[in-house]
Amino acid sequence: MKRGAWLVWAAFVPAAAAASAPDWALVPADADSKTAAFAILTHQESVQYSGTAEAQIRERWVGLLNQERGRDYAKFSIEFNADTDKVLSAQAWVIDGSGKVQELGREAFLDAAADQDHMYWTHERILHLATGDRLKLNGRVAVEFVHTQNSFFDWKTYLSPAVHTMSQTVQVEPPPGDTLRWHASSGQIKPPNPDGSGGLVWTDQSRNSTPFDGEPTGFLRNFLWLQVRPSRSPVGGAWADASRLADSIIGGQMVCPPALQARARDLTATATTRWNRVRALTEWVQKRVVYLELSTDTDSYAGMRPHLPAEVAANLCGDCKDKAALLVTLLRAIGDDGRVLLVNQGDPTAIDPNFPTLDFNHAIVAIPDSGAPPDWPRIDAGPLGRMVVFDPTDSVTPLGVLSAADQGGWTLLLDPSAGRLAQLPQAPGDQTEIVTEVQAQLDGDGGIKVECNRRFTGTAGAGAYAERRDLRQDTVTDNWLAILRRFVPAPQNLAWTDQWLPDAAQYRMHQTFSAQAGRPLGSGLMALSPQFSLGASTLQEWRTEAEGTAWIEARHFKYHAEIKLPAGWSIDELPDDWIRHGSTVNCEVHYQVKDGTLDFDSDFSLKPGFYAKSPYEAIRRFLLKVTEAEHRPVVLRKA
Amino acid sequence: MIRLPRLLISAAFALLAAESSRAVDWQPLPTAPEPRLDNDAPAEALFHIIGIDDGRFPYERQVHDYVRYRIYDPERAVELTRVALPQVAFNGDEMTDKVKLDARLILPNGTIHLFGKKDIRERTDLNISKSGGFLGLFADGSIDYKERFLAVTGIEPGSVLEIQFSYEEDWPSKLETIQFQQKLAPIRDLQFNYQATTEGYWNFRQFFLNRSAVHCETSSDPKTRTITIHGTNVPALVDEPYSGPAISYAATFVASYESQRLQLNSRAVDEDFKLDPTRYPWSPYATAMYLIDRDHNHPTHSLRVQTEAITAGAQTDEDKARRIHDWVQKLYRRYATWNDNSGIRRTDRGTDSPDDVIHFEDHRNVRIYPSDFAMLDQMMNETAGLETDIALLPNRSVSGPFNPGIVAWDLLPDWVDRVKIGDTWRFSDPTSNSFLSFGDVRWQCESQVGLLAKPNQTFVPVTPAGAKASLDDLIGTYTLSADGTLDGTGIRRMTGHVAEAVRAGLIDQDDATRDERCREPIEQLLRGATIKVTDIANSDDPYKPMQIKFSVHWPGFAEVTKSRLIFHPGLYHFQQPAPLGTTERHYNIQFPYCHYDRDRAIIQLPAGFALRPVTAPDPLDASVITYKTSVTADSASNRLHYARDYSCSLLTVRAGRAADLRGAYDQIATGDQLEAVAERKGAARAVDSGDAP
Repeated sequence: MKRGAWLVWAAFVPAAAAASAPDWALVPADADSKTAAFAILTHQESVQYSGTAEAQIRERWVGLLNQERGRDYAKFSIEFNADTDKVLSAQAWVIDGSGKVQELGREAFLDAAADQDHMYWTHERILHLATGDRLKLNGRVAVEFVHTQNSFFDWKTYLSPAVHTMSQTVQVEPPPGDTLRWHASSGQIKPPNPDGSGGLVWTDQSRNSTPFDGEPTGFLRNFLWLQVRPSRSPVGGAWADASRLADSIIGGQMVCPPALQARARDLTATATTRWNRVRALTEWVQKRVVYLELSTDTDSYAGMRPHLPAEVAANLCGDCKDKAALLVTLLRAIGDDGRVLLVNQGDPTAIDPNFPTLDFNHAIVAIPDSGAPPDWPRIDAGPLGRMVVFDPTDSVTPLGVLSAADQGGWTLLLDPSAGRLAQLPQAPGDQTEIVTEVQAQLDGDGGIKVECNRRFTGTAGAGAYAERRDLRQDTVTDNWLAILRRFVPAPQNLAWTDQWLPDAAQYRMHQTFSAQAGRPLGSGLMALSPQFSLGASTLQEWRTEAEGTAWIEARHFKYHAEIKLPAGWSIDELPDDWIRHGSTVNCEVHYQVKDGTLDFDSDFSLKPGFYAKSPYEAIRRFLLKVTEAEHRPVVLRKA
Repeated sequence: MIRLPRLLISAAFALLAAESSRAVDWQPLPTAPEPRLDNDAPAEALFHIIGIDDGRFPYERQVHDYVRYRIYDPERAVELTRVALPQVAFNGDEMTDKVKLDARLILPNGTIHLFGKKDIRERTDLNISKSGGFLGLFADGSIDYKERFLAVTGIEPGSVLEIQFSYEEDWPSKLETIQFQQKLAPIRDLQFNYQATTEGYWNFRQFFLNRSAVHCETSSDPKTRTITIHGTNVPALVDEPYSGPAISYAATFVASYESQRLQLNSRAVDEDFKLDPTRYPWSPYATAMYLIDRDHNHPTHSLRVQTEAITAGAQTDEDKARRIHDWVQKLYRRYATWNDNSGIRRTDRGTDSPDDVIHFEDHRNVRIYPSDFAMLDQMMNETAGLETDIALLPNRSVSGPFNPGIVAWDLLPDWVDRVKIGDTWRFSDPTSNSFLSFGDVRWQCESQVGLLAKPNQTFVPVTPAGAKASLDDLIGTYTLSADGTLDGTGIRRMTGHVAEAVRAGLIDQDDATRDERCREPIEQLLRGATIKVTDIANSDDPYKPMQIKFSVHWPGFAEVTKSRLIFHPGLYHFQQPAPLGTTERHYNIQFPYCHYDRDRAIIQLPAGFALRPVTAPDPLDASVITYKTSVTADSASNRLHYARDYSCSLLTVRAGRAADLRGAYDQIATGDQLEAVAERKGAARAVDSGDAP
């Protein structure tokens, strides 16, 4: 039969069948559900485990379209692993205001790769339904997916609604003869009710979505979620169990053939100390192995299994687990040691230490700390002692500094016998600082010639260098002129040189420029703000109603300026010193004139940490005062 | 249709490997490394050879591309060394088994690695089963788009990477653009060979755009229709603000084929109408579009009834035309929303009646283009007794400033209706992505010419709306406190293209998004202030100024000394960065549209402070850019009145004149830094005693 004939047949099938909707699709809509452009009347999820890592999942939504602009939300999808999971069915029923039903089968759903990027090539896929113009105003759509999941990772469902949701229900049944372990991300989620057979049921009524607008700087939104797994899951009930399982998957790959051993020896051949040898290996892995996530295995452990280190070293490509496993293998090849650590990059609040899990998203490395400088980041590795932590996936942040996105959360140390959960450090302010030293000469017309040395250290140094590295020379010049223009009028003739010192984790920049810094005020007066550089900066106002905390990195800014004043000009007004010390922030601003030179010092530090709304807003308001204090001008008067 | 630049396509196609009997020819191994052409570039193309054979056009196009890179920074060069693409040809066919890829990596130590089919990964990217076509393009069902991916691995700094691909494309596009320059890598040696079809049925034209951007030699043989380009030291592209689309500054070869016959649906037009390519160069296109327009022009009963209803009671021709424009524009907006959200549809025929457009929701299988709405507008105007025609307009944001000497039909993509009101022709552009009033066209089409869809070559000017037609007013009344905080309320009022751009961003958005999109531009101007939007008006009525009301709370607005408040009365613009970079300009400057900014602010000073005299900066009157500020003090009420007027009527500035323009902007920036000083009349201010948290 020709293809065209099949098409004609297919096109007529829906019209030929008298469709009817299932009972669950006909849930009543109350007045509240009609206040949103699109409302979910009910969202039901049920999970039936048949084994410790196998589950059948049924997801159902019923949505109501109240306004045209709500169409954008009338889209439903699931993600699945094409190798390990099966989509058993995907169906939808579109019901218009008069009750007429159109039934849609699997063929109406879009099936596509979930990631399209130069960095990723995985087996994750997405099955998606856009109801489009099938759904009429005041009509409803009911969607049901049934699929299996074959994975030892926890089943996790998000309970923060993306749209106004009237009712949500989650039901989970353990495998026969087993019970469940579960964890909720927030106290807002009332404990699920055990149903007597070891399963759980969770329900909630009428919740609004919270917009993403108005979030503070460093906001870690507490998405509400529930995660569940069978008690007899291979992940186990203790962190040591989870560590053992992950180590068996990752550690099993860490074999070092002779060629790789020789490579390790070559890379460290000229290093004379232990940490120089370690640095040679960390630099090689972080700089020479370019990021690429490429999954090849198709079993349920594939997402955690790295490629063989020898392959990664030969291909010079790999993702975080590949790079971490390679680095540990190379360290062991030279007689040193290391462990792979699992972390949750970008969200230090993601792990609850009371709920052992393998729900991590990133892998880094721990190295025994013997002889390491005292200010390097470490974890308490229990019986293994203290260990220095390093992220080989970050191609810039050097050994001795932990990447900003890894700081402050929990990490799982992988070891067959000494595995444990440990707290990752947060860099203190004196390791993350920006120091600016200025020498300048002001003339009687307000023109100024400036020589400026800047030092960015720690994660600030790595960040500044990473940003510069990816830019062309002229773009760097333009960017700095734009920054300077915020502090001093008409900057020009900017010349600069820079230097990246990975051993010291320091990015240095030397600049010269001229500007019109002295602002005429009339009547022989001139205002001069001596702070024309990056200062304490500001934080975004906390306006969101969403639950969460703000994670603020350490900040330490030191600024010193010596400005030679023009002959014939004297001080009309010199601001008072401004000194404030608190438990989280400290700031000192000093003005002094000596021998015709204005000395200006500003020193600001902020303690890193997780901040709730009230202390965050106190810090934000204080920063505004710091900015104000730093920019108080000196007023000069012509003799 | 403007297609992807060739170099991007080359990267994309590099992943497409399939069986081929052709042996791989590699050029001799490179000699010692040369001095780098560009120290900022992560890679350099030592040579790039491109061959395109259209000898069998329109049935087939053969492409062979061979590039040799030296990779200096593998991490920054991944866009060159990794390639992934859902493989679909211009005609919608999958290209499987038609593309051959080979890569060769030569490490600094001389080791050679070869990459081919075995290294290429493949997955189904998109699967739409029996229900029909995708996005209205393909209606044959059962579509599996294969995505293929090759990551060349093992690249060390200093490695040489060679990529060769070749493919044959069935039924290729009639317009082919090959952009020689790219961002990441300069090209030391460029060779381009093009064979056009010699089939007389097709009128062939070729152009080399921005030739001065590269040093090259070209030769062509009109008899055999072959073109050869040889370039040396072709620079990498750089990012510059206001440079327009790459086709307006990157060295680009354009090949364009024009069919000499048309296939029409029509009942009314002779299908064998012969186009004459020897007439004025645009005459065949104007004639063809005229025939298509006439082919569609069959007013139906439904159209007549609808037109009568729309124009009932209209007193003037302009009123009729305006009502029709507004109605069609609303219909198009409804269609655009519907089309965006309609998901997968089968579209197995084009429009052949205005009813297909008027009742688009009932004709799900019809492929509808924006030009159908322009023709609907025209038909309704004709039905209402007005004289009209269709104008084909270029789009500056897609193809840069229009040059009538570049005769490629797809460079005039936008259709608008033109209506005669009295002695004046007025445009009706109902299919922009915003709301336009009758008489206006979208900014992308302005300040160029339009080709009338008539059986001859007639260009009509599309003059830019003057700066005053696109007003951006910021008006506010504020109170300054002794601690330096500014509070008050303001209004942003916009007309013309300024409003057009803002309105486009609000269409079909929820309240939170509309609030955010109105608030953020004001926050960018008043950096440091807390802005709350209190009202948004006329976001869908182009005949009224769009208006955003807001409140301002701005701690630290004024610098506070012991006895003075120092502040910028030009609060809206004193923090704005210069619009152009400061380094040497490579490409011409292209601004989107002329506009006029009017700032007005009344600032109430705190009690106990008196304003010192303020001298406004010198005005600038360069005809194309004007700038004037004034500051006056009302000592009785202790208020400061600030006014700033700035207009720009420039659209294009040559790169060589960028320094002059920068000078003007420097003067404006200096003027915007104007400061005012209010002196305390009594005792000096006490030092703030707030605690640190």
